[in-house]
Amino acid sequence: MLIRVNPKDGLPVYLQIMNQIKHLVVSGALSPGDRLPAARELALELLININTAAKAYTELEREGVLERRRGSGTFVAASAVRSSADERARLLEPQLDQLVVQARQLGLTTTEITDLVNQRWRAVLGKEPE
Amino acid sequence: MDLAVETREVTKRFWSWRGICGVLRGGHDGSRLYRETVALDGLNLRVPRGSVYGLLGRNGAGKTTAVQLLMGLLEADTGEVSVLGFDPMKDEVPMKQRVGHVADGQKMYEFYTVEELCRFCATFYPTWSLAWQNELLDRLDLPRDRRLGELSRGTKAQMALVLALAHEPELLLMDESTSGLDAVVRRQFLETLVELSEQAGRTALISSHIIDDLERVCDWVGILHRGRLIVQQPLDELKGSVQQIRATFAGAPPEQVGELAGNLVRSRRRERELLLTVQGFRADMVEQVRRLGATSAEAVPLSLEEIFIAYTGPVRLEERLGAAVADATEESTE
Repeated sequence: MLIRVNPKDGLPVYLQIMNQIKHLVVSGALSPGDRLPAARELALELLININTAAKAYTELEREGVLERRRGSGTFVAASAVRSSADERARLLEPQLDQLVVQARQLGLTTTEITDLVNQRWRAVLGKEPE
Repeated sequence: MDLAVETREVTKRFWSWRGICGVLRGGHDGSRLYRETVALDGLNLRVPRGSVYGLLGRNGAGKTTAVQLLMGLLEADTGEVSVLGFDPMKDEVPMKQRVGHVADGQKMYEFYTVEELCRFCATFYPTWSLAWQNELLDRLDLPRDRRLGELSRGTKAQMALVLALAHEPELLLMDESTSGLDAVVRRQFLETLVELSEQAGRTALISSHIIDDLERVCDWVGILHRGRLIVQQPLDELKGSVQQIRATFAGAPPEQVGELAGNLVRSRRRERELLLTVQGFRADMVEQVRRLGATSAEAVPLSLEEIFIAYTGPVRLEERLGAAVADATEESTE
């Protein structure tokens, strides 16, 4: 599992971890039932406070992405993928917010943005938007 | 809350001889022979047991004085100091047996070899663990038969870390102990710190200029500025509370920011832009800025380094924004 922490980023470290684990789940790099390193192992690997690693896990457990099985560790929850349609949309939220703010500053309308998104979709992925 | 370290209204002043020329010249201090420096001015440090507490402050803010007071190396002028429930001046021995201290450029007996110095230090600590000492020496790859005098600055710092940890202290005090060390050694220090903090009830208080490191390993932060603790809270809380609102206006940004003035840490205006660093951030503050006429406004989280600079950095002229704002920044800038 590849997670990186950047202290220069304003986002609290536990949120950085949460976002990256969610990303790994949504992108399929982690599947339901996969085992995650224990919080202390993760903390040692990333050189972060143990409580921070534990907090990221606890929050992800609360959101249903991870589940803790007593005595055997932390795993990706079976429900993680089911909830992931919403989750996928939410992962894009920061970028979308930025897009909206900048589009507004540039004086673009929502129709124009939609057109632009479609245009980029064709350019980057090489196929028609569904 | 169970506290490992607590100080109550601690003040510490130093006097220095002004020199004959200074006295004859008079000036601000008149004909007084000594000049007073207030190093700590009512320090209320509260370090929860089990935390990794990062003490931040600019040069001369009082960090080293604070750590030396905790170690009983200095005596407070007024106020109380409690370290693991002991008074460092009265119960020096039992306190020091439970504390590990790594100072920057720590002096060690240079004629001892690494192994001899370990043996020497071990006699002072009933809890000294030979196995742990050897593991630390191996891990840091320290040459056991070399004399301290032969070692480089970085290797001496590693040695100081071994000596501070081998008795498995309840509290570790690290004062600028990673400054000037290479990335590999710094990483070893951090690893040791993370490992220490996972053991229940172990506490660490670290001061460092490398704020990125502190942001990684700390869960509590205190910002010391001119002898006073101006921030003391869990790191996550601090990061949620201090944010920057960036707003763009059609014309010049307003002079006054209304209710927000009370929460302002500092502000900066550029031509059509207004950057407000606020504490006690709430989502509706962005809305308040929009109501001031901003065409766009968004809140941006700040890194610990940015937060630190916002609180302790000098205020540039363009950051002063009307009297109300100047008042709000007064406390951290004077």
